Amino acid sequence: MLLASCLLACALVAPVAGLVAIAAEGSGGAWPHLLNYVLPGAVRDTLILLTGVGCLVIAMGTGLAWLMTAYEFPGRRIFEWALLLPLAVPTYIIAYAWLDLLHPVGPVQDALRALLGVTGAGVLPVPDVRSMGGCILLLSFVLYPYVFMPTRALFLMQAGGLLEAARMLGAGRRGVFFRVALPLARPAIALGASLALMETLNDIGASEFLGVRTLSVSIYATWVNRSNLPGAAQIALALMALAVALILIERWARRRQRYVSQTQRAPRARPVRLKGWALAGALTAASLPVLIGFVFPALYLVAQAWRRIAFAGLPHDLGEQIRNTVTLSAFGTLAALCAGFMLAYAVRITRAPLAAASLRVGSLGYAIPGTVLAIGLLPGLMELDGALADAIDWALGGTAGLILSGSGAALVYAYATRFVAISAGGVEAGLSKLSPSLDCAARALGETAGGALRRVHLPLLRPALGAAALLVFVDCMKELPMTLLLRPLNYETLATHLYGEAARGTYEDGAVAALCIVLVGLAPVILLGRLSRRPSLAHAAPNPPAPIPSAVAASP
Amino acid sequence: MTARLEIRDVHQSFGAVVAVEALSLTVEPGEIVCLLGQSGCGKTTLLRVVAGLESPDRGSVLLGGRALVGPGLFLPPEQRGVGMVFQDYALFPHLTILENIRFGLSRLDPAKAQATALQALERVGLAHAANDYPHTLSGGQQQRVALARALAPRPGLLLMDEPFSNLDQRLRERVRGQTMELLRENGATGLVVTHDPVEAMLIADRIALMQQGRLVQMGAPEDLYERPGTLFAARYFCDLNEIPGVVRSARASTALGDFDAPGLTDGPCVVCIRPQALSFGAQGREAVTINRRFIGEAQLIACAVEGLAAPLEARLPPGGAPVAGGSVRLSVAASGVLVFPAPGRG
Repeated sequence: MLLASCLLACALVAPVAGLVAIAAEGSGGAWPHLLNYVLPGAVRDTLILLTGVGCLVIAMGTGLAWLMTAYEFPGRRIFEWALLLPLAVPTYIIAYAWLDLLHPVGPVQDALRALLGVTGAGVLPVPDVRSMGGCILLLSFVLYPYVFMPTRALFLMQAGGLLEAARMLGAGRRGVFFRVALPLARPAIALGASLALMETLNDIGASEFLGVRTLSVSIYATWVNRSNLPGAAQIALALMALAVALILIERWARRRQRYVSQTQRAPRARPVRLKGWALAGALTAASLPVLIGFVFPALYLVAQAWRRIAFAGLPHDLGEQIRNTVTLSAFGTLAALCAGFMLAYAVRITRAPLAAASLRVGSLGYAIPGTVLAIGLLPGLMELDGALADAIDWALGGTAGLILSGSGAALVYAYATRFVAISAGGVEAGLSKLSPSLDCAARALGETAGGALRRVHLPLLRPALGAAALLVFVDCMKELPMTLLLRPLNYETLATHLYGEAARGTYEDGAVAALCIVLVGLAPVILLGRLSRRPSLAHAAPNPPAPIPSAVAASP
Repeated sequence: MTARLEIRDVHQSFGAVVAVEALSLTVEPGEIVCLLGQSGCGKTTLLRVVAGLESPDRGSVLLGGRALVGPGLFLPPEQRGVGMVFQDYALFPHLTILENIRFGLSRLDPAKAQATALQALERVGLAHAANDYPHTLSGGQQQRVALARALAPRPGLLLMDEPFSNLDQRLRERVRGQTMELLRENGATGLVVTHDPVEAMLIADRIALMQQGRLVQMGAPEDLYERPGTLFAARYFCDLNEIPGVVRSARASTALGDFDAPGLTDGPCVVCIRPQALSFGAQGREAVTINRRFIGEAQLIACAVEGLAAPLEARLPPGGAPVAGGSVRLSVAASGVLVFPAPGRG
């Protein structure tokens, strides 16, 4: 078990080694060009984007979490759930939707012109959404829930008694926020912000549509358009360095996190009822993110999809794309689930430091941007494919072609590598709720280790596994960069189809696919929303919540 | 700094649940009063009303003559000058011990605040831990920090919500002693919530016994123990042998004999006999011992008496134990007998 867990971890970080191998090949003289013209701009743009998105998601996520905790107003319970909705919209879809919504002859500018009584496109001083500013704003409006969720959970579960203690010691409402709530929430904010920034690093569609040349976009361009794989790998190394820096910053920001308070009974701090202008302000602040991040894009997609279907019927290749997407995602989910279970379960039964290290290393894939993973996978894949083809050639006397890359197995491997952290985290959280004496009881009653797994752990973990499967499946389905780079030739999924249509500028043709993705993406949001509405359950949980594991562990 | 606390006719309900009903009580300056009752009786709610963490539906609270809450008035907790020790201590995990104590001293200038906080820490004997974080301290030490933090701003009133319930038995007795000593030194007025009658008798000048949101009886520990006004109060302070009886002309007659029942009207009653009021001797009712348990400073003997459904429990000094199954004669000391009207009757 321990050995298997180690091997698995190695397999999961293999792409990083592969990346270094390709990068070391040298890019055939393109390096000076990359170094002088591509890399500085890409690094600068990526850093600006990260900084902008980071500041905005922290401000929005924390502010909204506090608004939901310290204040009471009509509709608060609905907002608490609705504020998670933008999670269902992948970055490339919000960019795609708003690009068309804000187009000079799009609905927003049309409405403005009608309102102001002017004619002619381009006469209005509407800032161009195709810009760094636009990209930062749009990404923030779908990524802020990553900060909102854990921060809100932390305020709910830990802060109650401490906030009251602060007030008893003479601190006013502002003082309570800045002196107690904010410092306490720091680990949750750091966790959420780092997740949001990883998504930003990973993003390829939104930045490209909005004309921001980030490192991810440059990698794709260098590889696909210039066919320069080593060059792409070298840029990928730079991106990898950024991702590692991000993890280190997050670790640093969460230092001294051991101080989880031992609050047993955390009454909700009495919220202030808002009236008048304050109420209007709160309603605006709470509804804007939902409108911009979900409602408008979703309505747009529905309208466009409706128009497309009314005009030309369902796109003829939609069925095939859905089939492809579901097949790939299902295999990816299965692989990620098995690997995650293995890693987490090894820690539970062996209690070896090596198993814990394997779990940690194996979960790193979540921090590695998709483009980097995809490039890192290639060298090993090509070797293996070549060897397999030779073997089949020798054994059967026919040409088999490239089996791994051709069948999508490569992509499944990539999905498992990137999303194993979610399933491992879910299983780990689920296991941590099961008392170790259950293991002992099963063994004392004459059951073998395998029997204990089958008769005790698996049935008890079923909800955790189910929730993890859902989260991984939806993530696989939404995944764009790796799918673009590793899919078999002419194999279209919903996401790649959408990307293609957007690249051609035929937005309305992608709307049906985009709508499908958003609809499926709603499933985990509904799951999370249902959990957040059961504070009794959250209170009973012995551990402080991380957004994903708690959701996985507590679901029925 | 010590002040008189007046609670007048406070009502508090949460939806359909009435937590506190028509409750009035007064705590004199420097006095320590325990709110005693079972969980859910409203004692913690009352404490939170005084703290300003709940705003009552009706009624008023005055501290040192100043209204904290009343008709059209609600002073937020930070303006009340009331200190509080929470059941789980609620120490800020992101601040050191010293910073925790300084938290409530932000109105003083920094040098003064530092000196005051250090002094408070010294008084609880934890000056050496000033720069540690709360999670490194033991439960008893955390309790002392919470107390020092609450007392540092010199509040007119100190509230404590089950302050010793998170400590194990032996530690609890020591910490309780130290805490009460510190409170008396400060001369602070104190309102302490507890569910443990022994703890209440140990620390309180007066006890306010609550049941279902109402004040049942208030008085010195001896008053409540010796002269409980209701069957509920009697049961709360002592494990009693309860036997049914009938009152006729201020005498209650039972299977164990007749007892004085002054002031009771005729009808069915409950006669409560304290275990220590039973003794074995040459005279009295005949009984058969069922079992004997030895608990160190005493022994508990259960015995069956003809005509009584449940066995009686006697608490005797150790030594000279009768054998189980032996026949004894049981006598009852009148000082350990309380008679109440049967439940459900006036």
